[in-house]
Amino acid sequence: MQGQNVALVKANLELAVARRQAEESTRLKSEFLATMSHELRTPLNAVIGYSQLQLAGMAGELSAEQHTFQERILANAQHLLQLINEVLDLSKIEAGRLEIHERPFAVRDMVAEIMTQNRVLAEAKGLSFEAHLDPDLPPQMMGDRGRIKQIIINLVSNAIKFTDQGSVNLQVSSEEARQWRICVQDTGIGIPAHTQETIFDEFRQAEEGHHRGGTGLGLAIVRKLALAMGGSVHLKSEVGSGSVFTVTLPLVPVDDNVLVEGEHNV
Amino acid sequence: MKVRNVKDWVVLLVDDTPDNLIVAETTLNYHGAAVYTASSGSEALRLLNDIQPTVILLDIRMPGMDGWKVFENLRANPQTASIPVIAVTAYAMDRDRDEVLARGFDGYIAKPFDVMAFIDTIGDILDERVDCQPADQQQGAQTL
Repeated sequence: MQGQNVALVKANLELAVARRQAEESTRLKSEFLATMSHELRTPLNAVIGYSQLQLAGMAGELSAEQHTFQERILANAQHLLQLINEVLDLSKIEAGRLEIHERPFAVRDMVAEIMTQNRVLAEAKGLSFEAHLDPDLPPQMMGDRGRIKQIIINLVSNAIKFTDQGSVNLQVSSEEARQWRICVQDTGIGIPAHTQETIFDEFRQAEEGHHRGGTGLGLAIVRKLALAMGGSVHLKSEVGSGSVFTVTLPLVPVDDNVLVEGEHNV
Repeated sequence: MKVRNVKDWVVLLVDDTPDNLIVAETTLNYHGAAVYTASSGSEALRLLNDIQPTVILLDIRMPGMDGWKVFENLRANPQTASIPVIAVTAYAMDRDRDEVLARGFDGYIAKPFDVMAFIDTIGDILDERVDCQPADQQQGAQTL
């Protein structure tokens, strides 16, 4: 009896130690990510800064070729910055540090912002670019607006990037009582069947992705974010005719009373 | 670009990375601002015995006295307490901006910053600050 007690006490102690070690390891990982983010951004600030200074003519006139080369330096530095942001996003998700902050938000406003931000890109390629909002969707829903927006922007900018003619459409609708659906449809180059299974993995974009300046991380982030919010992602695609990405998320409507209360808390 | 009296600005830049000082200084000089630079927190505090800048652009992560410490010192000293301070920092993760503003900084600019928008961003932060102050303080600020 006493022997059993001693064993139990010992097991409890070991568990407590293990838990503390796990917490410490999570804390160290977070600290490492924060430091790495800082250390990578600092030199990039100089690279981007100097090239912008030169392109703006703040360091004297440039020849046409110098101007072009500076533009390439800037474009590559910005690509590197995007990679850093996305690698950090992924690492945060992996380290279990991604926090989902659910608050009431207006879907219509969010979609309008996304359309404004991406319209220039779509128009520059001569694409038709439209959004359709299901009138049955509650005007206010609970969710992490920033993360949901990140998902849609990743999908929409991908669609624009891989579509040379035709259209990119965003559809937001309620699926059943407890789910809603974000659907991004394009008439782009499409994704070969053998790539469709791995396209959501890190750095596994289809061959064409490299040529079009993708980081190979956007879709990995989309899937991880959707999963973290209790949702899922589906892909339907055919080479030559286009792709449809569908994200399904749990739907929690906000009634007006709760919204007022929520606003007080903010 | 909004018309701003950048030529009236006296800016103190504090950053331990020389390249980042040069990029910010060149941009500000180009638009006509007077610029002082300090490559450490203690150097910045020494300089402030002699100058009264319009705004201080303060890096956060620096060896020795970091930006948080410098900011505390600035706000504790009546001579410098009312100078607007903007954090210009490579701490750019989700909560860094919130933390900077919660500590009482007047503004936050993440690195890498956009050279083309730099002047406007600083100007907007300064405008907002003037708008938020009571009228009597605004007059006081003008006579300084």
